[in-house]
Formats: sequence, structure tokens, C-alpha cells
Amino acid sequence: MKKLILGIFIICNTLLFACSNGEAESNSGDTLVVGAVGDPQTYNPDARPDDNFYPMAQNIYSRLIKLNNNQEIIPDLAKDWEVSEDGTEITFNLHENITWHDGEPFTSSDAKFTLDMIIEQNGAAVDNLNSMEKVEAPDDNTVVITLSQPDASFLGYLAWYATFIVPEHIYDEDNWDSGTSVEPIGTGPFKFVSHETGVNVELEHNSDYFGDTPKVDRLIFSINSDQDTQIQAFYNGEIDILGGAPPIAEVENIVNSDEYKITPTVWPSRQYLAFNVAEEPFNDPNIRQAIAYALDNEDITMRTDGEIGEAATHFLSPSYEWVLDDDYLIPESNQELAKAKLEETGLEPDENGNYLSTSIDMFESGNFSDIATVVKEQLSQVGIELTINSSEYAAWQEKVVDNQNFQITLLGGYQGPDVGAITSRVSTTGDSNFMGYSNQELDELLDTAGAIFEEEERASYYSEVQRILLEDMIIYPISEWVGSDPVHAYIEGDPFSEEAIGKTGFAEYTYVELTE
Amino acid sequence: MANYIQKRIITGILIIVVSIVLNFTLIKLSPGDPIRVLSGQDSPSPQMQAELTAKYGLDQSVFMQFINYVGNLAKGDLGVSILSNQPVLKMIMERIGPTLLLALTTAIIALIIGTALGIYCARYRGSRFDNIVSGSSYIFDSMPNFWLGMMLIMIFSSSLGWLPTSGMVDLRTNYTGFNYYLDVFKHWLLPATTIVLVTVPYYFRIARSSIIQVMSEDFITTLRATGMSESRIFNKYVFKNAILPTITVFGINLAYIVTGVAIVEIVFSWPGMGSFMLDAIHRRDYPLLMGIYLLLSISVAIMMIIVDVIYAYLDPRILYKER
Repeated sequence: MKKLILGIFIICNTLLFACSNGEAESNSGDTLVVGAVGDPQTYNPDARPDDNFYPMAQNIYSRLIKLNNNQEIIPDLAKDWEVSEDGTEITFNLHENITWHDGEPFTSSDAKFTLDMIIEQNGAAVDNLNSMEKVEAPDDNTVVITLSQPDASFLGYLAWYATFIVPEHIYDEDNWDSGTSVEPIGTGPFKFVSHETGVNVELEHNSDYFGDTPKVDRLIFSINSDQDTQIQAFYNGEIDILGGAPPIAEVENIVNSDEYKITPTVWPSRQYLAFNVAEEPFNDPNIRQAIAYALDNEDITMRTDGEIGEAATHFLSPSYEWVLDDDYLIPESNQELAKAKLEETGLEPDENGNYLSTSIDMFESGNFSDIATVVKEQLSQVGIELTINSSEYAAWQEKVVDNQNFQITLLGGYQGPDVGAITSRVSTTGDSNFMGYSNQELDELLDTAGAIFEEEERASYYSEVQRILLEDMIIYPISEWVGSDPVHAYIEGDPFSEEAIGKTGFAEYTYVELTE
Repeated sequence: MANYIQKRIITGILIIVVSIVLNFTLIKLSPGDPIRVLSGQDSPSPQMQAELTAKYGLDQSVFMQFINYVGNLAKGDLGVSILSNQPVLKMIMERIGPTLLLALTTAIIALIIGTALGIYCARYRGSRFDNIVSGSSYIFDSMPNFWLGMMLIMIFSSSLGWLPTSGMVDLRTNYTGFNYYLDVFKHWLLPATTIVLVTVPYYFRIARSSIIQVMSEDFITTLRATGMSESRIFNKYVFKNAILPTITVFGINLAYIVTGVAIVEIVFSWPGMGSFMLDAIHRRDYPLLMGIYLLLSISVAIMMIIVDVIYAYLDPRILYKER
């Protein structure tokens, strides 16, 4: 027996030794490895939302215009564009002599085809582009989009999600939504090479790219199913760029280390509480206000996001600084006032000192469960007992969105690419308003503001919007989503860096260089 | 014996049929809708939802959906994934290889090590070695496998840098030939160690206790009285009797081979069925889920038949009872 154990031990050691000396048939040129959370579900980035493929699509495809990492609109296939006086016609002038990755020439007709298909085939951006009336391609390098009414959010939406221009010679009605069965052909800085499920997606640089040629030869997305393992793989040097925000417990380690760089950036995306105002007890604004006074969102943020966290101060995202009105700030925490508000409504504390028992519904996502835990703790201090109902997304969607069977829910999500995005969350017909809330004055303000291009005039309407949101307190903003994507110190030109930020968008690695 | 096997196969088929019905019903009963998840919005427009629902045949009655499903199944068609539009069978085939590699090798290694340790400790019951192994078997048995996996990653990858943290191959370099196998082996070591460490205690305890039990039976005492040597008694009589429960546990373990190592696969980003299955559940990809569950039912049924047959072979009393 002892000999057997010894034998196994020796064999293992020999193999281990052999492993560490295995010779590599290495490739010439630089390879950049970026972490990814899952396998792409669709190679047509416009057919349906697929967050797994999004970072890859950012490198394979181009749009007419795109958003950089500061949420500003910058040129892409279109080198410039102009909006007509009345705000309903936008003319895009495209770069010349662009080719698709398969060598076919790109023309304005591909752009027209894509935008028409998004509408016809119910693409992921169909709701975002609903003010688009028609698309024309008068010549090979010009695209003209006509809107049914002036829409200040339109350019932002066109530059954002699921509006990548796809090749007309590849797609038709039958294969538009064909998952991963048609290989992606784009005009972007990197070309698709291969996808091994559960392992990686490999891209190579496109030497015919119309913009600056990428500095690395190969771009590999390493698929990691577990966030905690992914960060260890990053520390171990298997991944050069983490490919997402690190787990909160690791932030301090990364910020304080010379081996890594991190650039926290506030995105127009925020975590907030939404109340079901159609039912008791939250049909009473006093109770909603009591909750707002009971909560301290700075404390919640500090405890759930750590030192890079950013607590919400206004009812609109700080990414649109020009609309923020300091007269209508989120109220500061005041437990006495919270209790007074509760008593005003006629509630009495029971033998345990509780005025009210309620519940919060949430799905597992990011730091949601941490936020709910701190909210529960803070509410308990003013005599509100909170039960946390945590489920996975599909079950949450059925309970909260479909059946409106909830009292409070925790929400997140993008509130861009334009400040007008708040409309879908609070207006009567808004897609993401399932609070049972309807305020005609607010609806009108939002509609008017959405058609105005001039910032100062537009901002005055959003001041009023903030006033109503403060008075009605249907949502309680907690924290901003702070995007950060740690990279190793030897990486230069990542999308957050000085060099790249004006030129590249989210997860676009054209300017990345490995300096070691 | 042929009669016995026949009966077992019929039972196996019944199990598969019942599980198809149950799987279908349970999946449909669970809250959530793949179309909603597919739309990527908290609340998609009713028109978009209706079109997608019709496209995937989800507008028909549940009964019709079931009839269609079974009809296609009879033709060997497992359907097309709602998520990726790829045939379910193809998707499963892509993922099952790595799972089998990890699960089969570790099951066999754990069986050998666990049983060997069990036998040794049973023969030298109460020795210091026995105490140490028995004690540590409880420690590893009670350890969650994902936690143990993470600890091994932190020690052997992040701190010592000896082994890669995750995945199955090195992505920067394309190894070929022998170096490729070495690379896979290097990636296999940590997840395999994790699974072996938490599975060995099962086999160890079963082997140890059944051997101790058999050795205390009357016929062994009789054999000892005849003056037969301890090793001969052990090899010829104890071992064969004591190994039966181990084979049962091994068979049950193998039946869950497709999904049994899912959590360890997720921790180590091993490109097997683990994260794939979890994704299918989250997105309510009905055809894919049904495919995975079907595979699971079939492997459970087949392993039960095999275990029963081996059992009957090793212990002929079973066949007599059946008659």
C-alpha cells in the first residue's frame, strides 16, 4: 500500500514537472486575452439582445455612429452627419471604399437594408428606433433617415445597442434570426475566426479596417462561467483584461496594486427602488416618503460598492449633468422624519415597535442581494419590517412585470443613451413602468422635452420632471452603476484610457497594446 | 439471466417514458417565459411577444406542444434551441465530451482510491492510519465542492502559480500533439482533484464498513476455524461479498455523470454541461432543457440496468429471488 501511494506520488510529480516544461508552438505577434461571461447566443447582433456577444460585436461590426466610453456620439461608418432645421431629417456621409470582412464592398445600401430589417424583423432596437419613418440611400456613400417627428434621443439610440450595420449579401428574412448558424461578417477592426463553446471566441485583426488598424494581432475572449474564478485567472495572468467589473471584495486589492490599472467610470445606469403605487400600502405617498427618509443611500452604496461606489444624488442620471437640478435632490436620511411620516398616516407601532411589514422582490444580479440586505437593515431601524423575495430573472419577470404582484422591487439598467430614457421608466405607457403609476403632467413634460434639441430649453422641462419625481417619490434612486474593467499594468490603450476614450466605444480594443 | 435482463430493460424504458412526461410538465409549470427572456426587455411589446411566441410554436396548447415534441423525438429530432437556433443534439454533443472526460476519469480514480483505502483501513481497523483516513474522510465529505475548488485555485494557481486556474486549454498558444494532451492534463488536475477529494470518502466508508461487516459474519469465523490463511479468506470470500454496495454507489454515481460535476465545472470554467445547463434553465430554453433531461433519464435508466445485471452476476441469490 505504501509503495502504491509513493508510486502515485512520483507519477504525479513527474507529470507536473513535464507539464511545466511543455514546449509551446507559439504564434507570432501579440495576443490579447479578455474575459467573457458566456457563449454568444446570436451572431447577428441586431436580431435579439445578447449581452454575451455584445463585447465581441463591438470589435467585429461597425455602426453609422457610435458611443464612446464617455457616452458621447462619435463617428463610425459615417464620417459626419447633419440634422435638418426641423429636426426630422438626418443625412450621414459615409467613409469611402470600405469592405466587409469577406472582401465584398460595403455601401449605403447595406445600412438601409439593416435599419429596414430591424423594423421588419422586430430587431432588438425596434422600440428605440420607433420614430424612424424611412431610410434612403441616394448614393453609395450617403444615408438619409427621416423621422416621423423630431426626436432628441434618436441619434443616441442609433449609436447604441443592436444597431450594427450587417451585410445585405449575407442576411435575408430566413436567416436574419438564425442564432449562431451564420458566421459573423462585419466591417469592424477585428474579424471573426472561431468560437469553441464554453471555451473562447477568437478574432484576428482586420488589416483592411477603414479606421486605425488594431495594434494586437489576435483578440481572444476567454469564456469563464464563474466570476470568482475569472478574477483569479486575471490575477494569474491568464487574462489580460478582466472584461467586466470585478467582484466588490476584490476592488481594494486591484486599486492598491501596481500590477493592475482600473478606471472607474459612472455610466447612465443606476440601481433604484420602485414602489407598486396601485396597491396598499404604497398608494399613499406619505409611506413612500417615509421609506425615502428612512434610507441612507450613501451608506448603502458604501457598503455594497466599496470605495469606487457612487451614491445617487438626483432623480436623473449624473451622466446628463446639464439637466440636474439641485433644488430637487433625493432627500437626506432622517429617521425621526420617517417615523413622523408613518404616524401621520395613522399607523401605530405594534408590540415589537413595527409600524409596517412589507416586502421587496428582486432577481439575482450583481450586488442586488447586498443592496436589499442593507435596505432591510435600515428600514428596520424606523420600524418597517422588510421581507426579501429573491428569485431568478424569469420568475421575477412573471411575478413583478406580468402580474404586478409586488410591493417594492429593486431595479437596475441603462438610462441612456439620452436623458429621455427616463420616459420608459416613469411615463404612463413606459415599457419599464410596472408600478401602476400614471401622472398626466409628467407625461406631457416628458413628451415635450423629448422633441427639443436645444439643451438649455430642454433642461427646464427636466427640472419640472425632477420636481414631480421628488414629490411623488415613486422611485428611490440608490446608486450609480460604476463601470470598471481592470487591466494588467502592461496594457496600454484600453477603452477607458486617455488614448482611446475619444475614439473607441465600450469593450472595443483597437488601440490596446501589450507593452511587455 | 436473459429473462432477468429483459425485465430490467422494460423497466428502464418505462422510466424513460415517465420521465419525459414529468420533465415536460414540470418545465411548463415553472414560472417564466423564454420569449420574455429572449426579448431582453423587462416588458417587451405585446406584438413582438406574440410574433416570437408563434415562431417557436409556444402559442399552441400545452398538450399539442407535447404531442409535437414526442412526434419529433420518435424521429430522433430533439428540436432546436430557442437561444441559439442550433439543433439541441449538436449542442449537447459539443459539450458532453469534456464532461465525460472529467467525470469518468475522476469517478474511476475515486473508486480505486476510496475502495483501496477502505479495504486497507478495514483490515487494519483501529490503526493510526485508519484513524487519520477515517477522520479526514469526514472533513472532505462535509466540504462543499465549489469551496474546495476555489481554495485549490487560490493555492495552486494564484499563489504558487503551478497550474492554470480554469478552462481546458491554454488560449494564448495552440498546442499540438503530445503537448496538447499535457496542456489538457494540466487544466484537468485541479478540477479532478476537487472531485476526487470529495468523492473518495463515499467509496472509502462504504468499502470499509461492508468489509468490516462481512468479516464479522459467521461463515468467516468458520473459515478461520478451518485454518485457512487470513489473506486467502480475504481474497476469496470477503472481497467478493463486500464489493457489492460499492458497485451500487458507483453505478448511481455514473448515472448522474452528465450533471453530477456541474458545479465543479462552473467553478473551473470547464467547457462541459455545467454552465450550459444552468444557462438553459435561466433562459427557459425548453427544447434544450428537455434534451438535457432526456439524456439524464436515459443514462440513469441504462446505469440501473447495468448495475442490476452486475449485481445478479456477483450475487446469484438475486436471480433466485426473482423467480
